[in-house]
Amino acid sequence: MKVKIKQLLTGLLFVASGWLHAAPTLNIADYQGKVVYVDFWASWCGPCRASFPFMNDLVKDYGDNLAVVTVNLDESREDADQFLTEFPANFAVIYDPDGGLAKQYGVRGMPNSFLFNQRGELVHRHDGFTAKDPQIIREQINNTLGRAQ
Amino acid sequence: MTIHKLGIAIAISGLLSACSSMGVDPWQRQNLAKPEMALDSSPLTSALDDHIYFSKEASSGGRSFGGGGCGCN
Amino acid sequence: MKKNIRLSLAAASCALLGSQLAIAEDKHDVGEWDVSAALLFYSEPDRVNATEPVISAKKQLDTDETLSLKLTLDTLTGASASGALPSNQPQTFTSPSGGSIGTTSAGDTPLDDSFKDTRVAVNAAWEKPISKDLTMVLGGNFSTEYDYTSFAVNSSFAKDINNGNTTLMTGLSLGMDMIKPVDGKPIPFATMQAGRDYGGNSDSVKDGSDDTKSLVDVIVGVTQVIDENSLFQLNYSLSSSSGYLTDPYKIISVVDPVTGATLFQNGAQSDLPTAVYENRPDSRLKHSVFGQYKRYLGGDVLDTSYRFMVDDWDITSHTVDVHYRWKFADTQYLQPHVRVYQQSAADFYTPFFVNGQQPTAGDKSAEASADYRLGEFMAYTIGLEYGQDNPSNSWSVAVEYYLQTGDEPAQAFGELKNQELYPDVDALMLRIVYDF
Repeated sequence: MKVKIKQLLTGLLFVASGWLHAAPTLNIADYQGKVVYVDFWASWCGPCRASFPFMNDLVKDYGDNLAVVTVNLDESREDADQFLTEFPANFAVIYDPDGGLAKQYGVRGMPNSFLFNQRGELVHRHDGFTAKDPQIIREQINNTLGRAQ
Repeated sequence: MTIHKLGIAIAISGLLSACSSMGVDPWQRQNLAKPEMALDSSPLTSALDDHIYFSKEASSGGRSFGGGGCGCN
Repeated sequence: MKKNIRLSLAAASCALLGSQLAIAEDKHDVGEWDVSAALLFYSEPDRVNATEPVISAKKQLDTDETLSLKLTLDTLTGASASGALPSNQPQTFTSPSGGSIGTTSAGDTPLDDSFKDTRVAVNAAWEKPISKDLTMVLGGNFSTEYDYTSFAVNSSFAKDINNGNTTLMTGLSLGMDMIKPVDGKPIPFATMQAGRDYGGNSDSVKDGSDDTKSLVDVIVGVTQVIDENSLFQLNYSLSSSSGYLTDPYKIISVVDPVTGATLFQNGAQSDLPTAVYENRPDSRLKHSVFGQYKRYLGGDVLDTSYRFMVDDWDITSHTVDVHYRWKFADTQYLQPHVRVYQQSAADFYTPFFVNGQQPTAGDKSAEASADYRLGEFMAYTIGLEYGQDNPSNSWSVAVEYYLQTGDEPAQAFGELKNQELYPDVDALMLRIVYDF
């Protein structure tokens, strides 16, 4: 009995610690059937500020055809929350303070975005965010959706 | 002079190889991105200072192009 | 200007750019002008006073492209050392404008007190990415004052490598300066105040002509991120100037070979000391190595730099500069500053001429200057800045004290030993910077 409780406790601890330190996951397959736009950002990255209104526009314009998923890379959750108060997001935010996902995606700078087609295949990646980028990204999304301009 | 150049070449290549092992990931630059961490964090101040020292001393420049354009020296 | 789209100079990739680390966050919208102003008051007791207002504006053309413009006014009044030595008798000097006459009391360093000038300088720079990880800066400078005009253009390129952790930079600057001394260039080593106007027999000691000098600067540098909190920069620069490098207003006292007393040889006016115009080499090649290290310390910033300079005038200099930005409250900081500078003398520097040893008037191959700025000295700066970083406006006020001190020349003899030949020069500065 004692042994069982000990095992149970250990098991619970293991599960709890696993849950507390859960590495954030991003499974593109979860969005199967949709085009997925993944964007890595941080509160202190200047151009990221410009990309937020653009991503809100994407959500509005493409509706269910497009999933916008962003990954915040701030080490401090407070910084990210403060940024989101200033720039409200109408899309999902995954928190990756240790940069595990960023490493997995090979993020080269910020913002850094990745476009996946309906089959979950990576079709485009985009570094940075300048004034001409919204048009380029929209064209890429349109092409991926198979839409005419 | 040749030894001099060789020394510089070794120093530069040594520096570059040392450099490639230094650094951080792009998302780890929060502190480095702060305005006060810019190499020339107050360009107006450094330009005013450079102008004073250019007019009082025999050296100038270094950080960027040497001062000049002044009859003060 | 949409308030909700705030972009920054932080390049798209948050990469390093040029001589400045452009990952630095600067919250300004694309299309918006970032305007800063500064005002400097500079004062040397009994000597130069300067007031220098500056206004700069930077337009964020895109998240990674900027246009910077800067206008500087430099208003000088007061006096500067002419190169002549103090004497045991009063000395009278005419000013470069030829009109007013100043008399220096016995024992005082002769100053050129007609030193009044306003300089206007304009700088422009356009920074633009030309491909991924490669940035170009094109710049131009123009400045003008009543006897001096300067033009320069420059271009530099910065390449990010190592995932943005290393930036290689190279740049070239070409400049042309035009010097129009009052009454024209003096004849090298001609005796000042000895011409016909002063009762002498010779023609004017000024030949009435203008001159130019050209400048070529080349710089190469590397900036390296060390870790999450520190980085360094290392630059090498080569600076070549050629043409008229002489200061047309600087003179050299001539002393008696036996007594060491300043000579007064003008028969018509006995209070006119004998002094000759200087002449410098017509070219100068400088090499500089500059290293800077910055570290972020939990809100504070340590900023240190060192510069080594050596040139073919035989001047060697060392400069150490340390700032510590102490953030003592959320938006406030205090920043102490210390700078130490040391230079050796130019090989043609001479504090005076012993009569008979000065080159013949008009001898352009001879080189000599008594300009104390070409002598051997140490200089110390100590300063303190208080600043506020507010979201909408930031400002700072700084007070700095500068002291230049050198040894009395070893070659002094006789009466020269009774005079202070290399007086200390000190200055007080007040600087205000405001970011709109």
